[in-house]
Amino acid sequence: MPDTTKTDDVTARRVRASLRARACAAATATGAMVFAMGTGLLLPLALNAAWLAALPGAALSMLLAARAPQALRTHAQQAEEKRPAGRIPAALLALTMLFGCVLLLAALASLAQQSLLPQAQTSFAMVCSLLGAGLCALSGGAGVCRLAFALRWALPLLLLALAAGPVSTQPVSGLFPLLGMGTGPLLLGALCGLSAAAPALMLLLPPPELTQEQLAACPPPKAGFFARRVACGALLGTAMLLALSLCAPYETLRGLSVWGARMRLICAGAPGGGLSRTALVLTQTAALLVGAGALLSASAQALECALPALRERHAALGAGFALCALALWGLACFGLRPLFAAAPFLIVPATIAAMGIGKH
Amino acid sequence: MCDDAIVLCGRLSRDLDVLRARLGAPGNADVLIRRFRSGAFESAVVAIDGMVNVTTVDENILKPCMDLPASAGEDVAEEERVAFLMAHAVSVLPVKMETRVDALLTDVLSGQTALLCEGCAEAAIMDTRGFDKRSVGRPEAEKVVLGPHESFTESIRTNITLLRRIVQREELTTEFVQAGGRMKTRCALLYLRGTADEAMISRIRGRLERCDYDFALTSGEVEQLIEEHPMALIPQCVRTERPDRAASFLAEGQVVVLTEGSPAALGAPSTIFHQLHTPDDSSMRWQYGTFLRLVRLLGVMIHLFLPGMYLAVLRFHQELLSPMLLTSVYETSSRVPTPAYLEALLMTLAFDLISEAGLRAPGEMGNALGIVSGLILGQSAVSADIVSPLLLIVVAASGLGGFCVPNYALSVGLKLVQLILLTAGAAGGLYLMAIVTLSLLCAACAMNSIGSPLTAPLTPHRRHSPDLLLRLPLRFQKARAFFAGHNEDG
Repeated sequence: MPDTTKTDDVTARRVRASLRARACAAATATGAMVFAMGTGLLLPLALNAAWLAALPGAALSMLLAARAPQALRTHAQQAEEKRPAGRIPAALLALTMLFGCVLLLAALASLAQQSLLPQAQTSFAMVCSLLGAGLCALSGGAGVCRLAFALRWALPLLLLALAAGPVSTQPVSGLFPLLGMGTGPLLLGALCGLSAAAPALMLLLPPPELTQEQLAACPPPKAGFFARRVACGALLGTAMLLALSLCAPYETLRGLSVWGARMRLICAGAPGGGLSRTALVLTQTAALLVGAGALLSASAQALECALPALRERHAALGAGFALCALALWGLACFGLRPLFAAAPFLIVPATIAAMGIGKH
Repeated sequence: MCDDAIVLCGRLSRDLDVLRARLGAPGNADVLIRRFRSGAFESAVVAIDGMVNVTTVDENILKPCMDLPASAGEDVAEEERVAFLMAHAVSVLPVKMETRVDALLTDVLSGQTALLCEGCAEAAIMDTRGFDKRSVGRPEAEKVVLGPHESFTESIRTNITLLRRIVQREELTTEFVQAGGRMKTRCALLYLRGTADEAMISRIRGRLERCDYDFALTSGEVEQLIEEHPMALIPQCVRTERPDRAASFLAEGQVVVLTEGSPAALGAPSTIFHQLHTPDDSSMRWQYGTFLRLVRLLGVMIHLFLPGMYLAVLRFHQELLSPMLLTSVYETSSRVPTPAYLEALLMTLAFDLISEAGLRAPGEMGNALGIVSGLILGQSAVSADIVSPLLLIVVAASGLGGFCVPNYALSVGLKLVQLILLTAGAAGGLYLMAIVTLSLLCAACAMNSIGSPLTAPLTPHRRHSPDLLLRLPLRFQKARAFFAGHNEDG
């Protein structure tokens, strides 16, 4: 007869592996979000102090991730008591994740248009990135989380190694003035940058591939289990912003109005010519796409909680995908201004969702 | 009820009539039904000509039964008559008792002999199989430099013997399952009791038993019956024609599925790493094995990405090439009348055509065909300015990389991925290639093989020995594969 203690032990190990993969996906999404929001929103505000402005967002993401074990416990309890999860927080969470996904896809398209496909239209890059995120999310969330876990060393190491090349040739004076445009814009930037922590909220949902029995069999991990991974992702995003500040002087940053052009600033001084530049852009592309895919699948999962009618096969994902497509179409028609105008307020629904979902 | 065709009724004439009707005898010339006197009662044997060893049936069943004295079995109860004959006359192993007509016919059709007695509602099924079969040969698709050179044959019994000879453990268990709807195929599930996961075994057994596909004749069809993702490009069971490799699957806790008439074994569940490993990796010292694995991985990368990257660089990322090389490429490309994508697609397909023709051509002609077609077609195409020489090099290097893939089914899947990436590279450069690659990786990460993640133990993490991409010394390989059961440490 099988030893039940060992069976439980194996189940617990497998649950932890799923949670670890989920944490890696959240970390990738958070890092990508910090970088995308940093280049899109914080750089125009704080210039070369954007990395400083991103730090509060990184810290907040860590705090949000630390709430995940409590949320998982609540989920398990709700399932045990057959109590439905809160629909309004779930809907807010879905919208937050969708907005994050749209932002990352728009960043991806802008980066691609400015670097890899300079002659193509942004809408083509947007369609490609949207289809990519859709295909990543189609695997049900488990696929993209597992991919993020597989790339947990490769992506950061490649990013750091490729960014180290151009940074090493730049003088440290690029960091000055340390406060960028001054204290006021820096504080405003820091406030806006809090929204970059929103992707960490995907950890409040249990991994979809796990059953309630499996979740219940394994005690929820400690708060640091998720928090340290998400913090690493967010700090990596901040480090990329720091590298960007080092690579481009204050005046250059001030003159750049295109989002994608700001994102590829690190590549400009890359030694080794086009090869390392392309490699860096491709690594950034991978991080942004994995983040967008993870957010899209998380939004589909949250939509299923909010609207049980969408529990049919891939209906929630289809709805999320359609909303994303609609938003990207709007951005292609009316420009990125509405996206940047709304982005700072993302933290509001995110906070309400976090409070609602984690509450017992 | 005698008319009931489902079970035997015990009246010999009626039972034989039912069997005759079902087998189409006497019109069916292969059906052997021999009625005879065995002591105090009548008996009969039913078999299929050519499938049984006639000498065994004559010497071990018919002769001893007919030699019994006329009074033998007089005092035996009618329902005990078959058991009486088995105890006092018949000398054949193995034997099982059967009451259902359908099961009896399935056994008879597989080459076994049924013994029925007057008054007894059950028949003895004896393994008297004696058909001709191919002897154990050398593996064709999984050649190794070191290690054994035996391969499976089409006989399931021989294949089980080959495995048992290697895995001499009391835990090795064989279960027979009939797969398919109308035309059943005998499959054998082999596993190490206590090592293989019980839930996994019952899942495979259930899938085979439940399938209602009419004709599952080969191991390839059986594989399709038990896999979970029919739309996927990657095979979800690992196939081998080598008994030593199948034995290693058993040791890892996998279930080995053998199919009657197929010279291959299926290992399930499997991971993507099983598809990329060869027996040589383990036979050689760890440094050589690791080096060969890295070479193979490089080959797979070249096979998948090189043609697409060539087009992407040519069309979208010219800055990646030096001006001299770029000039040379454009100079040669400008003489070619077809667009670069079409040219690359046609050349890739031409390579696949040559490779497929070489595979199907009889005997040694295959090798000659490949060399001749490659040299003559390639040289002529370049001379006639139909293709650029650089593309020819790219396609040849990519094709060579494809031959590094040790698993034929996987190599066909990778060819399709190569064509997808080629199209992506032509349509959206490295950007679209990156997006397609990540999407395919996501799909692969989400796939399961009999409930186990296909990309594990890399992702999601599972306990494993250092034997995935790198193969470290055997002394470090102590962990049992993650899909093994929980009854043993691992």
